[in-house]
Amino acid sequence: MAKGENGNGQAKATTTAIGPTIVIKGKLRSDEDLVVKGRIEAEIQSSKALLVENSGIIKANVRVKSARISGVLVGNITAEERVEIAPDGRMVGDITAPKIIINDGAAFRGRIDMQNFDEAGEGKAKSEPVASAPPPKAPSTGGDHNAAANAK
Amino acid sequence: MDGDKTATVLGPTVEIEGEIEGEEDLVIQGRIQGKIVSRRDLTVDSSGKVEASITTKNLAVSGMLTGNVTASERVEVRKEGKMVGDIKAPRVVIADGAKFKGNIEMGVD
Repeated sequence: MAKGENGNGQAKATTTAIGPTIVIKGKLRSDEDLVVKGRIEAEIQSSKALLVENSGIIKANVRVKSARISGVLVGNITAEERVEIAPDGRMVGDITAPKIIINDGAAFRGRIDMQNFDEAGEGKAKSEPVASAPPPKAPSTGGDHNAAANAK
Repeated sequence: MDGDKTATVLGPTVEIEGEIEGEEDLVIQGRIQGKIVSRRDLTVDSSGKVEASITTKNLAVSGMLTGNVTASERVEVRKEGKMVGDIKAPRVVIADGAKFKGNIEMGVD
């Protein structure tokens, strides 16, 4: 698929790497892994993984299968599987995912919702947020407001 | 190529609605709708479908492009490429087999 002519290293057929000088605004959808080294101010929807590298900045809401943040993300994340904030990652916003990892050193402000908190296992990981779940927009802290404002 | 090898390839399943700006080579294999501004080379691969106004240095179209293009150097519509829109560039190449509809302005007086 991807022509191996670029410097992307292992020509993994199903990865899109968005380089450090790229700025995207608007809306982004994809069914392949995304590696972000640039700046994205676009709502992201992906059925695969999202990797925000050190130089990457995302200011938008994100809906993916899994995410790992080594850069900056301002916005809310909903992940089907897991979200991990690496030691050098910074994030402001709310996370909804069955598995959430915040590493030592990471900076985070926002709300965390591990949907199936009281149901052991991951069986229900894919179910939509239950009705009893708090409304996603509930401003629990002042930080949420900032997150939403910054996300624009 | 200024000795700088960075290129961003937007894969075949990537769809973007909005604006893209960049200072590295950009290869589009998915769908883009909106606006693209690049200071380097832009390639619309054969699987790429772009509906956008484009400002770039070089453009090569092997896929489908709808929109107007302003290039500071060169625009090439390759043999499997299809383009509808106006081109403004000092050098324009339309290969045998390419489909094109629109105006071309090479800055000739």
